[in-house]
Amino acid sequence: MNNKLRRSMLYIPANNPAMIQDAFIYGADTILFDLEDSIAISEKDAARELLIEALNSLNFNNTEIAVRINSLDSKFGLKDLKSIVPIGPDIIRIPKIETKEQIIKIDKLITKLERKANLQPGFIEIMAMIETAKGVLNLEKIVASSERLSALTLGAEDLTTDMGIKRTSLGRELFLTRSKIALVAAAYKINAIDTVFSDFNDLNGLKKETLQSKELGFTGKAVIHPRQVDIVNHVFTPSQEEIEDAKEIVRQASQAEEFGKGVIAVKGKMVDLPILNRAKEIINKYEKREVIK
Amino acid sequence: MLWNIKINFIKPNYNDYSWKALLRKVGLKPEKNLDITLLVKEQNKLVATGSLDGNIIKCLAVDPNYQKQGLMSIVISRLKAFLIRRERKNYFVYAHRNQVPLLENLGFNELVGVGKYPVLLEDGISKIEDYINIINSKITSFNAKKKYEQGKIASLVMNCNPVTKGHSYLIEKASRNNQLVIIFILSEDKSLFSAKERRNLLQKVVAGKDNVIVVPSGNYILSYSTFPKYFLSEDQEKESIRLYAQLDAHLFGKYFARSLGIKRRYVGTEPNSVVTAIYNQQLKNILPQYGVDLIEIQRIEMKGIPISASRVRKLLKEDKLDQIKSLVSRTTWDYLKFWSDQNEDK
Amino acid sequence: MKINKTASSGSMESSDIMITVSPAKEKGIIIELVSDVEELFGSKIKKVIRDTIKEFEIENIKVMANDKGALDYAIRARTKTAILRALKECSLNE
Repeated sequence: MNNKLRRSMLYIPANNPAMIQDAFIYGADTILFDLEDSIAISEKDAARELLIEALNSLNFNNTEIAVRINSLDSKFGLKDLKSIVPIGPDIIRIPKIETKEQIIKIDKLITKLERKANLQPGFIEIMAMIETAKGVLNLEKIVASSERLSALTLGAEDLTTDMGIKRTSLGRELFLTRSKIALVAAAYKINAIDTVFSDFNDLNGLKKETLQSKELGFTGKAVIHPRQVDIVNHVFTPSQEEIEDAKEIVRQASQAEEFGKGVIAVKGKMVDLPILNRAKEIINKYEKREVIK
Repeated sequence: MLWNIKINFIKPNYNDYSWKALLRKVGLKPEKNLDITLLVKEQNKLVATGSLDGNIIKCLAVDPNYQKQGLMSIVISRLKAFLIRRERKNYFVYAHRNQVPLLENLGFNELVGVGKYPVLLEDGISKIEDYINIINSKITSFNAKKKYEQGKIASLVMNCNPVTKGHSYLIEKASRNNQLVIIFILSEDKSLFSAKERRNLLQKVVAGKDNVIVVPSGNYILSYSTFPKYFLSEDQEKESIRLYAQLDAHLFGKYFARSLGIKRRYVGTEPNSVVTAIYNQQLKNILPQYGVDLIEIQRIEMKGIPISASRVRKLLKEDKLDQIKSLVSRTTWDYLKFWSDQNEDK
Repeated sequence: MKINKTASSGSMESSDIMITVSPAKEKGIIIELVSDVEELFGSKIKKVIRDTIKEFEIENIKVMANDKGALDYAIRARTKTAILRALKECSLNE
């Protein structure tokens, strides 16, 4: 399991060549090709075929590639999985996950398909979409059930529908769920990716919601419009000050270790192990990689 | 390029205010009798639409504030895909003159246009040229068999719903004064009698005449595609009937008369139907531009009332079968008796 | 193999191509192409379509292609989908 830099995931409907071709230019950390909700039932076959050809022949400038397949309960899910795994995307997003049994089954299936395609078993990661109340309750079991599972994400529309409640701009109705997703993801050191902010003309609203997500512990957010990418990236990137602080913590910690000193304090705050690890993570993520902004 | 637009097919909602407003914005009137409507929305705002009436695309509009963003391509692509899935071989658009260049760029060919609206365009795997070729080869083989020389060619366009002595009289007139008579019998199955029934009955009536050929009118002459008003109720604006009648007349002159060498078209005088009367008037105005004379023949009467198919249908409905006998040929009469028995239970 | 019905795939949106295939009477692959870049890429586009059809070993086919600047991968995908749809017994549900 890892904790990759996945600040923004840009949804791209997989049936639109113009959008597919330009997907990588907007600076999203992950391109999320969608075969599910943005594709009409009558176009599922066309989208799948187009995505296969695109992933086989286009160069996305080393941007991480994710594919959202249809639910395995639908008649398209299995076909999606069988045709997408052999192309070897980095991560597959699977909708409507509510039990660990689903993940175990999918994991096995992917392993089988990877072998068949001469891919290293375990190569493809999965991202579970939590979209039902039951899924929220089973979160920990779900995450613990597969080594492949490297990100959790929230499907807010379906979840509120499942609960029979409305989405509000304040988002209180999703507070518990968001917190729980972030908590479980943190515990298992995987990504927590927040749901989309659908009014793409309201950039202030997006910024507000993204800041809240970050406060709760999310590591990234799905976006539906290129103009949302910069804001989301910015929010999830630590400030220069935070990075400098992290460097200072790590520097002092290694000195302390050298001189056998137990407890250290930076800027008047005591540094314990979790804080040190967090500092290392920040440096790892944002110092070594060239992050824009 | 527009991101996150929502595209949906819906059942037409003629009261939808935003839909009507968008159509008016581009100079179109909302139409009735639509089968399905495509709505393209950006953030819940309607930005483009198009509808289908059979294989005709109508009520096509893109919000002027959203032009040059590929919305027309989206609408046309979706409607076209929808039509092909329903195995339509060709399809039409009724467009505003302003929309024509864009539609031509999307594969449509302009057939004819009357003023700013309507302009009729066509696309598909079988087009008007293909249809005329089929008719042409039918006529060629008919001529070869009958050893007729190419000479004065006349034509009639008839529904024959059902064929009456009125029709026979018209055909007789045309047959006597021309070397070849092409009868286009309407292909549209929107009448009391099916296209097949109408055609069979007519074939029997013309069986003895060796210079008369019966061919289907197809999609292009008095069809639902080119003249929808002909098949809709009478209570419509005369202006709109006039426009569609002009369209139909131009189509006939420009494509059929020219390619098939038709020099005359026969019609019966029309005392009853407003639509047909307007239609005949437009034929009279327009066909001469294409070198075709319209010849109006006074309808024959029976007991002071003109013989017409509508009179026959009325009598059938009233179950006055005996009064029909004198209005139709022997073979038609036999069939009507049979038909009437078949439909008695209904 | 033989196709028995008309089917299409793709769109006339920018960077896409709309492919309509239908059974042809004569043997062979007939391609009618309309493209904004026909002069430059017409023969290349036709070759991609032809090669994709050959993979299916279909012999009697008429293709109408309306190209809006599609790249090879999109031409291949659209051709493939159109053929697969034409080979299907029943129409797709809406």
